[in-house]
Amino acid sequence: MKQPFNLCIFPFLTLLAFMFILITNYAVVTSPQGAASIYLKSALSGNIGYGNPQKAHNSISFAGLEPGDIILGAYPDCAYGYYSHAALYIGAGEIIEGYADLGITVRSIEHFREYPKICLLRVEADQAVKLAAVDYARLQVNELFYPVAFKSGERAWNCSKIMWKAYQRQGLDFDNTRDLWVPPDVFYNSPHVTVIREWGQL
Amino acid sequence: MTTLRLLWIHLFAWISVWLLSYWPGWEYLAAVLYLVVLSREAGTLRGVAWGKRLSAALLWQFPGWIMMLALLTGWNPCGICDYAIFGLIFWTTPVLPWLVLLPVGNLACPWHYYGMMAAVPLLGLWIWIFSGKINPPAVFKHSRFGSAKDCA
Repeated sequence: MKQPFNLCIFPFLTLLAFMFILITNYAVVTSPQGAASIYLKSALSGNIGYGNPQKAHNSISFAGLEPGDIILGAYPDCAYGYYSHAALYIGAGEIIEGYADLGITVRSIEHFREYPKICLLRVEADQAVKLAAVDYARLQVNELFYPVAFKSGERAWNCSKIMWKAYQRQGLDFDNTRDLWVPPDVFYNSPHVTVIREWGQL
Repeated sequence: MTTLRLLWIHLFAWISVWLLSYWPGWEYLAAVLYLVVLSREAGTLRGVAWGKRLSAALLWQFPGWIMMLALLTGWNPCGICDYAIFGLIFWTTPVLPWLVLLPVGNLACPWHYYGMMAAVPLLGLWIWIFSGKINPPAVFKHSRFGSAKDCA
C-alpha cells in the first residue's frame, strides 16, 4: 500500500479525540436529554436540520424589549430541540444572531416574524451584566458560524453559543446540563430567564 | 484510486479538525497535518499523465464543487441550495482554522464565506501543484532558504 501514514493518521486522530471526549463527558453524551441523543433520535426519524422554514408572518409585539433580552424562533421538525434559532436583542430593533453565510451578524428583529412559534425572554440580571453581554456579542460580529461548534473556544459560533458565551463571560451560565453544545432550548429551560411573550404553536 | 484516497483523507481530516476544536488551538495541529498529508498524497501522482493528475485534482473535491455551484448559481435540485452553505461549511472544515484568520472586510458577507468557496478550487490546485514535476518541498530544500549548507 502506498503511503499508509496518509490514510491512517486522520482516522487515528479521530478515534483518539472521540475517545477522549466520550470518556471525559460520558454522562452528558449518553444522557437521553443531551444534545447528542436528541439529535441522533431526530436524525433517525428523518430530521437533520433547523426544521421546515415557513413564512408564518406572526404578529407578536416586540414592544418593551430591552438590550440583553433573548428571542427564540421555532420551525416544525427541528432536529436539535423545540426551538430552531436564537438571537440577542441589542436595542433599536436590532438583534445579534448567527447565520451560516453571514457569520455572527446584526440584523433587524423583524425577520423573526416568519417563525410560526416565537418566544421573547427576559434575562434576570443586572442591567450592567446585560449590557456587558451585548458588548461582548458585538465584538464577535463577522466571526465564523459553525453549526456544531463546541462550547469551548471563541473562534467558531452558532446562534446559541454566542449568547451563552456572552452571558457566561459575565458570570451567568444558562446551561445547567454541562453539555458539549448549546441548543436554543437551553435558554427557554433556564431558571435565569422569564418569558415576556410567546406567540403561535407548532 | 488516488481520488478515493484523497476523499478518505479529507473526510477523516474533517472529523479530526472538528473534534480537536473541542480543545481550542489543537485544531491547527490537524489543519497543518492535513496540508502536509495532501502534499504527500499528491506526490504519489508525480510522473503520471497530466489528465490523471487533473481528474484527481478536480474529482476529490466533487461535493465541494456541487455546493459551491449551488450557492453561486442558485441551482436547487432536491432543495440542495437551501442546505448548500451548511454543506460547504462542513466540507471545508479541514481548512476553517485558516479561514477564521481572514480579516473581516467590508463585503456583503465576511471573508471566510468567500474563503470557503475559494477553498474548493484552491485545494484542487494544491494537489495539482504538489503532483507536478516541480516539487515545491524539494525546491525549497535546495533553495538558499532551505539549504543546510547555507545554514551551517
